[in-house]
Amino acid sequence: MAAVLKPVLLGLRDAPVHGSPSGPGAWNASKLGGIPDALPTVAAPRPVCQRCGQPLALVVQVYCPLEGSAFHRLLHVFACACPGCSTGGSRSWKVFRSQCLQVPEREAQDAQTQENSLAAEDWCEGADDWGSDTEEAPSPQLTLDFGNDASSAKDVDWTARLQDLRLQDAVLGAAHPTALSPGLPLFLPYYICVADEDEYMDFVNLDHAHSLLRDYQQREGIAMDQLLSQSLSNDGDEKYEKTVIKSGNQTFYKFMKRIAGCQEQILRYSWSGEPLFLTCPTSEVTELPACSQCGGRRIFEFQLMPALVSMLKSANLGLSVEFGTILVYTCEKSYPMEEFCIIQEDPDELLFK
Amino acid sequence: MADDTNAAWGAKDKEWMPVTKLGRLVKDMKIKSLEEIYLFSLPIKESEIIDFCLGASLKNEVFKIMPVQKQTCTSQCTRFKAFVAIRDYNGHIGLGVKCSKEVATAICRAIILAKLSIVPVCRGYWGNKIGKPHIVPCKVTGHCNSVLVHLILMPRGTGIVSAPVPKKPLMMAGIDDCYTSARGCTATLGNFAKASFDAISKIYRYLTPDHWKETRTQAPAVATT
Repeated sequence: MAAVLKPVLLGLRDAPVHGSPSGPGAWNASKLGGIPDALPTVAAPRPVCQRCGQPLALVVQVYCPLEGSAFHRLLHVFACACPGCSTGGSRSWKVFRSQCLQVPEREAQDAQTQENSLAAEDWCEGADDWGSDTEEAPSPQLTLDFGNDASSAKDVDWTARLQDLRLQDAVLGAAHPTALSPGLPLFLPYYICVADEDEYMDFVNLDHAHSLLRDYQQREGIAMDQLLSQSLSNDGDEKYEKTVIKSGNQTFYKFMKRIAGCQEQILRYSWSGEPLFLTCPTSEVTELPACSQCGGRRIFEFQLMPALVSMLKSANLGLSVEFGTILVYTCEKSYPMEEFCIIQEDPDELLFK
Repeated sequence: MADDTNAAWGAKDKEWMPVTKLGRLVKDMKIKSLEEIYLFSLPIKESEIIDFCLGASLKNEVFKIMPVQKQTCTSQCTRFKAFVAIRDYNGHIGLGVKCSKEVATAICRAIILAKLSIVPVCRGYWGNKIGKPHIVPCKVTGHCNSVLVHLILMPRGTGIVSAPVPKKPLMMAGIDDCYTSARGCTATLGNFAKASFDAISKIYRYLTPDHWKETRTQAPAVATT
């Protein structure tokens, strides 16, 4: 543990997505399930499974512009939800990245009053201060929060548009999925909110352990300092022993320990950081394929956690995706294209085949 | 009392999000009891599965806490080793051993390890099948490094005749009458406790005549998918 760990951001499930938001409010948001939103200049990806040819369902959409970059960056993770392919391995999963140049907001709000356009400029300048050095987008809830002065002009714009949608929600909501394509598998959409891993790191409930310790001391009649002095008289019969886990392996135990602070995390984001392996990593990880467009190195960007499996529900039962953890590696130089992902299977998978 | 209920601890925890497939099946109540998991020897990797199945009836007890030392180039590094035994009063027992710099952390982690190592205990009769089963159904031997522990069945009323260290796990397993014979360096408490625990867990591996009858059960893979 000599290297300094890069900060890790956790994605947690938030409120469900209502209706079908469109416009920057939609592709600015990170969400799980639902229909993939496209950036203004890029077509929404509609991939098919390599194994069975069925259209893939959107698992997660992550809005993650890079620090110091002028591009909006959107990553889509698709998976095949057919029963036969749900444990199909990397051929049933696809990751796409799309990006477009950020257009300064003042041009988009020409129709607004002078006051509003000033506020819009402030929003642009304040963009870099939004949060810490993170590449993850702020929660979409913030854009709808009237208390947030920096983006108040933007709020008015987006809520107005959403209000328009609401009027036709009853019709659009039902028609929307079918309007795009009849057979597209869909998971129920939820927004993803972001938290820092450090907030959850020290959450270990030691009350029970303390009460057990008190009972032990009462029973044996010794106090803590006596325990320590015992060590001096002890001639080393008992030695420090490494824990040997009877079932499962050491890597899995470490994985469980690390996520114990925040069990409901569904995404771990750490640009160019270290992934948290579920099972012992195979040679796949050391021999990552280089980017096919520029030949550059691929680096770890984020991973999907097993808690996501129980959160991916669909309106019509029968759609399910099973995995242990999905590690997504993207091109360092960030060209828009298909990215590479490694799937680590659930350790129990072999038992239930 | 020396022990404390697990339920009080579990109540404060947040909702469990399973990580493994077995966890998901248990949470969705497709696998209803631990016995189904034991029947197919499925490895239990999440301690919350045990919490879910056995829940309030689990009781933890700290066996022993001892400081262990490691020599570093500057000084000695002292850590605490905690032995925690866990039981429910219905024939399940587990033992966890964990070393850590702080006592409370060691106890906490040892509890998790104890849950992961829970095994079912089979009890039987010495002579007539009157009353409840009270002893090991056959002679068993457990070992851990150099320590060997034999458990020998005895008629009702004998009580547990053994050194204090294996007496605890035997009592917790619900075995009332037993002779024990130990060999090896029994002064190492860790090995002695683990050897007696190993002996108890070997009981179910023994094919006794009442298990001879053939039974057909559906594998969980078929039953749940």
